[in-house]
Amino acid sequence: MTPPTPNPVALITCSVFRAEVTHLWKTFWPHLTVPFQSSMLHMNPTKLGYRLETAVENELLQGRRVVLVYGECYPGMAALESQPGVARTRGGNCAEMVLGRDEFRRLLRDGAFFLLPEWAAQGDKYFRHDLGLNRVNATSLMQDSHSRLLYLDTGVVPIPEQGLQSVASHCGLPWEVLPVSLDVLRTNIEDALHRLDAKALEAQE
Amino acid sequence: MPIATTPNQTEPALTDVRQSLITLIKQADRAGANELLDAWANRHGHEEVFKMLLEPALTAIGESITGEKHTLAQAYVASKVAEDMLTKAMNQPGGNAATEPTKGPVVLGNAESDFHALGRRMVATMLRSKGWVIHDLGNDVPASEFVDKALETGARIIGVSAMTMTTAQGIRDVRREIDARGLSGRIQLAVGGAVFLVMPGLLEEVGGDGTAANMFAAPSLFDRLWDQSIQAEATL
Repeated sequence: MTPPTPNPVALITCSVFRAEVTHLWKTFWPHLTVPFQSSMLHMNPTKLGYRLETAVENELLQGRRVVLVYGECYPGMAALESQPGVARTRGGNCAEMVLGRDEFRRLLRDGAFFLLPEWAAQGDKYFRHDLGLNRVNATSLMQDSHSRLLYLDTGVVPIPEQGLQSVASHCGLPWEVLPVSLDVLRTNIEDALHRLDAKALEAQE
Repeated sequence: MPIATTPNQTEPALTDVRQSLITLIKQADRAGANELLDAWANRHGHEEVFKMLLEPALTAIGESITGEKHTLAQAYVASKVAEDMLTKAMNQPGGNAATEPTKGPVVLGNAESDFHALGRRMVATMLRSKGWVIHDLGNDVPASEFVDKALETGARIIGVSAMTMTTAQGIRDVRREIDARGLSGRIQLAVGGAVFLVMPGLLEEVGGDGTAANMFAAPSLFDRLWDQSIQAEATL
């Protein structure tokens, strides 16, 4: 007997990866659906959880399985990804998802504060308005834990130099650019797709 | 910030000064808060600053800021103001009773693979301001290192911070290490971090002995756990 065709997949993706995942999607998975959720939801984990849970529920109701292209961004993530028909990329946060665990840890230990294109482009808005940290407090807080800002240049969008300079000036840290390939993120998403298939097979047995 | 005075007073009423301090911290105005505290310290000494102003203000802020926007900035500034005052008091000629360690020692650190240092540092500052001796092991600390340090220093409490569900699982290893070395009860396990606020049952799941809702509540948690450790040892 031929096994039933698995349901199609939606990659519910944080908009912090909009450019990167769009690029990968066009090249490798054009048959998948890729809805994005605003990365600014991270400022309110309760709201982020509600929006993600609703989005997953909607996709499942429409007969699609789900890969969450997310880190461990709200406390309910483990429960959400444990549902039948749902898997999540590995990694605790977006920088780790792009760099891989070992490189992420190495750079973090070395004092890096990571910035991806979408957040870097906003300049100091996040610190000033969303966290309420004026320049004095932002500088103190950031210099307590970090030695530099590290922009992860995935090569898909121009480096937002003005935004980076604005963050650097507000936080009192120098900024550097680290070119990174999309291979780690791509492999991570493909691994989640494989696990999703394995989950479907397990459910059939 | 203007502080109310009454006609017969040469200085502002304590309650007004305290309220001004609370307002400044809530506005994340570290310099303003320090200026106010310095002025008070010049008149009354650093010990009085801690007892009469800073501790009551921090307690009041801890009770009120939950759910407010910009809580991070307020909590950060509160901890830095406390740290600033501790540093100044310690630098006084002959030291100062307010900064003399009277409690502890305890061991703090972030769970293995956890790099969110801010909460741990703020808790450490709060505890220091209450006289605790802190051995802060930093981020990404293996379970055995926590217990080794507790044994080396005679600490009765290990405080482990974790931000996410995944890193919180590393706290189980600390629990196992404590139990495996026959130190259950004698060494109490305090846990904290954002994930514990929103996941009911996680404290028990990872084997913690207690948690605090925020840095302001940490000192009373540590007081309680210290007592529990002594009681547990007495019954052994």
